[in-house]
Amino acid sequence: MKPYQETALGRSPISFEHFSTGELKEMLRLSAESASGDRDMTGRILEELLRREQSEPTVSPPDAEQAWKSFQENYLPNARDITLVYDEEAAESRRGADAFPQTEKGRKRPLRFRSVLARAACFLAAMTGVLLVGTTVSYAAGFELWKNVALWTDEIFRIGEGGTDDSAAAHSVAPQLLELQELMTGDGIGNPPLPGYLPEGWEAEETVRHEGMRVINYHCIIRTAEGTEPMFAYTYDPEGSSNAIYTKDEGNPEPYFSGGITFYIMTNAGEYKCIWVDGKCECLFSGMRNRDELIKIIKSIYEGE
Amino acid sequence: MKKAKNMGLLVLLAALIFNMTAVAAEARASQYFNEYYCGISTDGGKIKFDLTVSGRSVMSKIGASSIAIYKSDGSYVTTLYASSKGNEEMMSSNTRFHYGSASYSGQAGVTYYAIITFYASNSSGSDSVPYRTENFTA
Repeated sequence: MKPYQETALGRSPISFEHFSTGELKEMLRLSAESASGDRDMTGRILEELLRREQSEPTVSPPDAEQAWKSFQENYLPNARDITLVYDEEAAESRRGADAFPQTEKGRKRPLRFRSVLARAACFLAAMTGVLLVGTTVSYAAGFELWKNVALWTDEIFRIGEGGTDDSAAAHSVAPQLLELQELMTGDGIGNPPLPGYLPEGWEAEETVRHEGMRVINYHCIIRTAEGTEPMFAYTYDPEGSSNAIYTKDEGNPEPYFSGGITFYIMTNAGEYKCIWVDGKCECLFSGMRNRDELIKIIKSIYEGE
Repeated sequence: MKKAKNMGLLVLLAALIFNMTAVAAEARASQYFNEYYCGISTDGGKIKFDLTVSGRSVMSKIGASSIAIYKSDGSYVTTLYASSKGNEEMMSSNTRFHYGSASYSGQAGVTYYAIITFYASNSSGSDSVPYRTENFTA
C-alpha cells in the first residue's frame, strides 16, 4: 500500500506520514481517550513520532531506560537498608544503640504512635505532591483533572462531556438574533443561551439551521460595521457532547465564569472565540477582535445587559 | 551510593519535567477552520457519516476530502474520496458552512473507526486537519 493516494484534492492520508507532528500527537491523545482503545493505531503513531524524532531530534530527553536501570541498580538494592527521613522508630533505634537503655514501657508505645503519625504525614505529603504534579501535568496537557469538561492542545479545543441541566439563560435576546431564537425554540430548546447585547452596527447576515442524524446545528453570521463577520454556532445534541473540534492558537484557554457557566475564551488566528456548554447545547461564539466587547456579550447571556 | 541514589531521583524528576513540556505541540491555529465534527449512525452494516464544518469565512471549497475507514484492530478497509462519484456531499463550494454526509456499506457487527480529513480552501490557500472518530459497530 502506498503511504498516500493522489486525489483531485491532493494527498489523502493512508499512513501517518501525511500528518504533522502536532496532528499525530492529537491523534495519539484521541486514540488514548477512545473507550475501546486501539493499540495498533497508537503503536503506529508512536512509531511515526519516534521515526521523526530520530531523524530530526528536537530535544534531548533523558534516557528513561538508563534512568530505570540506574534506579534499579543503585537505589533499589540499598532501599532495604535506608530508612525513611522521618522514620523516628528507626532513628530512635539507631540513637538507642549509643544511648542508655530504656524500658519497653517507656519507649515503645509513644514511639509507635509518633511513627504512625509521621508515616501518615509522609503519605499525605506524598499524595498531595502526586496530585499537585498530576494536576500540573494534566493542565499542561490541556485536560482539566478536577472538572472533566474540556480538553485541548495547542491547536484544538473540545468539550469532554456535555451538560444535562436546562439552560440558565433568562432574559431578552438581542434583536439581531431573534430569527436564531425562533429556530431554536421551534426545536424545543426552551431557553436558548443567546446574548441580550450585541454592539451597535451588528446585523445578522445569515442564519442557518441544519438537522443532522443526531444533532441540530445552528449558525448565525453577523456583519459588523467594521466589516468583520463574527459567528454564533450552537450544536444541540440530545445525547450530550457533540465531540466537535474547535481550532485555536497556542496556549491554555482562559476560563471565564458568568451566571454559573464556565466560558472557555481562546484565540484562533488572533481572533477571540469562546466556547461553553449550556444544557444539551454546545455553544461557540467566534470572530471577535475586541475582548471587552466579548466579555460584555458573554455577561449579557446569563446576567442580562 | 547516596550520590547514585540522588542522581537516579534527579533523572526521574527530569523525565517527569520533560513529560510535562513534551505535551506542548507545535502551534498551528487555522486561518480556515472554525470547527469540525462528524457524527456516525449505523444500520445493519450501513454506515453514515454526518459531517459538519464551519470556516472562518466563505471558502471556495469546504468539507471532508477523504474518510479512511479502519477496523478496530487497525487494519485498513477503504477510503472514501470527495472526488469520487457518489461522494459529492462530502464537499461544498463557495460557502462558510458545510453540512454533508457520506455512506459506506460495512459488515454488520464489525467495529470500525475512521480518520476524516477535513479540508478548506480559499484564494489564499488551503488547510486540512485530521479527525479520528470513536469506534462504532456497523
